[in-house]
Amino acid sequence: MTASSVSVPLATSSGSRWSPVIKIGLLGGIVAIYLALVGILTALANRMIITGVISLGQIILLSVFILFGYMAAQRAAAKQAKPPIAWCLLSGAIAGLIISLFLSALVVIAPAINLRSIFINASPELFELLTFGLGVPTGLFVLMGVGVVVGALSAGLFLLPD
Amino acid sequence: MLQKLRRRVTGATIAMWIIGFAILAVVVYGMASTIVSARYTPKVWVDLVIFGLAQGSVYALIALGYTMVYGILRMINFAHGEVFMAGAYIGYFIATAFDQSGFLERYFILAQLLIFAGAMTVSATIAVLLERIAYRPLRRAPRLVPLITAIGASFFLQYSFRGFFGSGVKGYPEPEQLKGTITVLGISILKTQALVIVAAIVMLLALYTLVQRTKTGRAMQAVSEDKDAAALMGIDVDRIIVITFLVGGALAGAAGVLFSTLFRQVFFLTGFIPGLKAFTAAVLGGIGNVAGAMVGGLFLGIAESLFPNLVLDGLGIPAPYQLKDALAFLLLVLVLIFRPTGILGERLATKKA
Repeated sequence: MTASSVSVPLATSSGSRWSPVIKIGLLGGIVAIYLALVGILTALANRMIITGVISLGQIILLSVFILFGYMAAQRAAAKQAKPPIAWCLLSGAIAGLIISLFLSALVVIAPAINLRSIFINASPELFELLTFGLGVPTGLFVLMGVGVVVGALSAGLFLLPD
Repeated sequence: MLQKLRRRVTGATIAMWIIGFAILAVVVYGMASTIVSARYTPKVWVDLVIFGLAQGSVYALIALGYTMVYGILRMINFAHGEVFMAGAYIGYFIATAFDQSGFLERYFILAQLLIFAGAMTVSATIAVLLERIAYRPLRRAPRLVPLITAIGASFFLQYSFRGFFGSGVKGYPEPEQLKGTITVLGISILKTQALVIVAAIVMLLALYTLVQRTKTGRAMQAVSEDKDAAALMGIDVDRIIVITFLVGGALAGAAGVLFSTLFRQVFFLTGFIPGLKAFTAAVLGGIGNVAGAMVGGLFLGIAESLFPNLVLDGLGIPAPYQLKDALAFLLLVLVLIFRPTGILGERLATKKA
């Protein structure tokens, strides 16, 4: 038996496939929570990009989904000659979902434990922005939907040819 | 021999001596004037020394973080003051919660331990995250780059905390057990000052034991001597650096709680001036030297407390206590000019570049 006749199987552990995507999602969640609690989202919520449609605060929120959805696709396609399309899109969607779960948890937990006594920006205005003015639980489902869709779309951006 | 002397003693050296003697003369004159005028009673001097010890203990704890990081990475972690500020904030929130529930007074010692534990944990975490995110990628970069990054990290932390918690000053709660004074060897000391001094001594001793008597401490010394040789000896350099930041951050967190206990206020710029003063203390004691940081911190605290009254008052300068910050930084400049190695340490330059 020679070295050339020995084929080394690729690592196909399903755990290792999910791990980078989940890590990106968790990191994105932390960044989103940071932006929410530090006051950037609420400070820019009144700066309308398109009046009555979307504000700068919402754009910044969406940019978190876009950035981390893209990064998740990047990680999913790492070390592969041909990026698997379905897996990349799924990775972006999962990252977006994890980020939106973090924000949803903030919206649900913060009023219950009076988080505003510590973080001054955990305010009703923030929760209204995060739920797109639709309240709980409708707004949370919309937030999760937005996270999944935007995450998948930004993963699609990664897959576009150069 | 005369030629050798002429080569070593230049015009600049002579000018420095003259300036040094002039400063010394002014200081001695100021001290003599104050003492001769008997403006202050012995009790006032004792109170000032005790306050200086308490203040210096806080500086020493923060300075240890600076000196340990410099010793290992040859880098000044200018964000360390904000790690201290984070500890102060966390200590404030925990103490306030305990105070509102009555736990702080009912179980004072347990409450204090929990406050310290919480503050030290968060500060250590922030310090480790700083190292991982801001400094590790720049380990091979030119020296200026991590320095600028540290300054940027410092501002990032400051204004993040301002965003999280607001710009207002928060009042640290004072439990009944810390009100009033105790008498030690006939000297009346405020209970808060006694707590600060005792807690700081305990932590300084613990750190000294860690560095001198444990395997991890020896590894820290080895990495500080020569990173590459330590790696060849089988020491995990990355792990030791993380532990250094962890320990430095924990001490800064504890210092934050002690500072809040002493001065009873916390806000997002709390770490700025004490951070700079602790850096001064680290340089004063000898940057890179753990014992030097302790000595430097205590010396700076006492100097800052005593000198305005002892020297400036004697020179007829009104409201001398308002110049205590200027005094601390003047001391830094003078130390760097006349004794760059500090009291116990190595030159703050390129000894191991």
